[in-house]
Amino acid sequence: MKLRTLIVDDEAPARERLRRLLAGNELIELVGEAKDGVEAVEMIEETSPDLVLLDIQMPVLDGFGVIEALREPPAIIFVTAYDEYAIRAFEVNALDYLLKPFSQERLNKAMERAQEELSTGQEFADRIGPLLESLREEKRYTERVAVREPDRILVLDVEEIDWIEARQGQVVVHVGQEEHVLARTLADLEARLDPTLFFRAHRSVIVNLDRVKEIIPWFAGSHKLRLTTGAEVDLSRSRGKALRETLGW
Amino acid sequence: MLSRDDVKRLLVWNPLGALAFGLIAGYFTGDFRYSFAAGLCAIYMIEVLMALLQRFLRPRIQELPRLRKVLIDIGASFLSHFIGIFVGLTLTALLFGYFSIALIFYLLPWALMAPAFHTVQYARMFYRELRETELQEERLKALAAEAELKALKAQINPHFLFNTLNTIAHLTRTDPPRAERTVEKLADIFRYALFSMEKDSVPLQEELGFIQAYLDLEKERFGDRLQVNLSIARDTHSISVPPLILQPLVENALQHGQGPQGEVELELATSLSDDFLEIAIKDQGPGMQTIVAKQPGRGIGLRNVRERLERTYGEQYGLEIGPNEPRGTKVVISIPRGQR
Repeated sequence: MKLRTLIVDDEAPARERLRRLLAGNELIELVGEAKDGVEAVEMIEETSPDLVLLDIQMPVLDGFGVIEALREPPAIIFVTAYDEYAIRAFEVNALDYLLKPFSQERLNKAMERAQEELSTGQEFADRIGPLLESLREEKRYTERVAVREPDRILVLDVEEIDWIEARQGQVVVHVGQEEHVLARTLADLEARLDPTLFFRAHRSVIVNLDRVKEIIPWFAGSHKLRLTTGAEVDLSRSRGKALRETLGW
Repeated sequence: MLSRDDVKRLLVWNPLGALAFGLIAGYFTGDFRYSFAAGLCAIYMIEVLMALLQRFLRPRIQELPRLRKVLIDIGASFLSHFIGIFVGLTLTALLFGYFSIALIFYLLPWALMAPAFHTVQYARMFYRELRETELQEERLKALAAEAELKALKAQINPHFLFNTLNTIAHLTRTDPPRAERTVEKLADIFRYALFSMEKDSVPLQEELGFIQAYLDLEKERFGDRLQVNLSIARDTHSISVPPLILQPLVENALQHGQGPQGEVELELATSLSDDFLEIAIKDQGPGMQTIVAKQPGRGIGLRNVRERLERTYGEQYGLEIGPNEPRGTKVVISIPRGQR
């Protein structure tokens, strides 16, 4: 069985080179090329490829943003010119990656490995959580979050986000009066957000600290946070202690 | 007001000191009571004078050069001990109705000893501070070297290098003449980046030649997504600028000035006023809605540029970052013309 493969890179010469190097490969069937992160998410959802060769540095939505936007990411081989933090994260999680410019041999080896792993049914998706966690340890936080709307993919700057809540198995992102639903867990999202800006206020709430306007004492040592947008969210007692240390109130 | 040590000294050590003095001086003069009283009077007079010094003199000499400050301080301490002793003796004389001249000889060494003790303390403090300054200087030197290395690293962005190598790998097969030109440009860029660092300044024209080559390579990667408008005033060509001062700003514009589809419209303009060369770099990206510090990449590039301008021109430079019309970010550097 051939691996149905998608190429994702914002640079035309890089895509062309990859296409040429893959041309003679019998393990591979190319299903398309995407030239940015948003297009990649769309094409992955449409064509559901077995394997994606994913560039990391791309404008607007980068490679990690693509993975995060997907409900069930396919197997992925990361491609990067230079990114020491990401590379450390890959190594920790034993994920394959290609460093540009890579040789034909190196690419072939990566494809064989992918073939083997996919045939033994190792789930790439299982490694996503740990990967995101490692990226946070490398202080590589996400700058943008992609939201799948019925007719489009919306890319949010994380700084636009006021607060985030887990509600009935979904994650709801609040931006002003708008609500956007993400298909991922609150823990996964938290793993990618800069902890100096985003604070877990409650088991099911993450709040953008820039938006906190008032901290109102509530019952039994808990608090309410009133945001600049007027929204009020709960601050649990234990998290209140942590916030007290962070803000020094 | 008074510390624990002050209280201890005033209530315990001073009376004990006066008692000791009274015993010793009394042994030689044969008048214990008189000696003890003279000791007490002198010691507390000195306390009063020293307190006055602390209150009125020290704040006034705070701003003086250190050596003068310390000399005045020690001198004042000497003087207050002398005056304290004489006033103390006079008080005792008034109290007892007669004056014992012999006591002066026992009290004077004391008057010398206390300020001498001060002097030693000051000397020790000076020495410690000198060592501290030396250490500090060494630390600063190490930091400066590190900063320079970092600046160099930032200028030769590894990401740019490897992506360009990848482009070349592709072009060698598909378009060998273009691959050749790309390699030549990459060589030019690296030569300039490596060797211009040793110079303090280069003519603007050279710096712009480098920027042009850099943008050409970025165009290979960006394709149609990159549009560059240069408007270089002819009379600015020969003005001296620090080497590699523009590259971080151009790179910032390419990275952070991207439109919704990742397209970049970059504008670079130079102009000359009476005193300054002005270089403006504009992009049509999303602009900086929030403070610079929140765009980590942009922050580092800008900080490097600012530090280098400051090192070269002191206060005589400008670096303004603001919104561009109708959208995007505009960075303007002003460099004094004719100076280095």
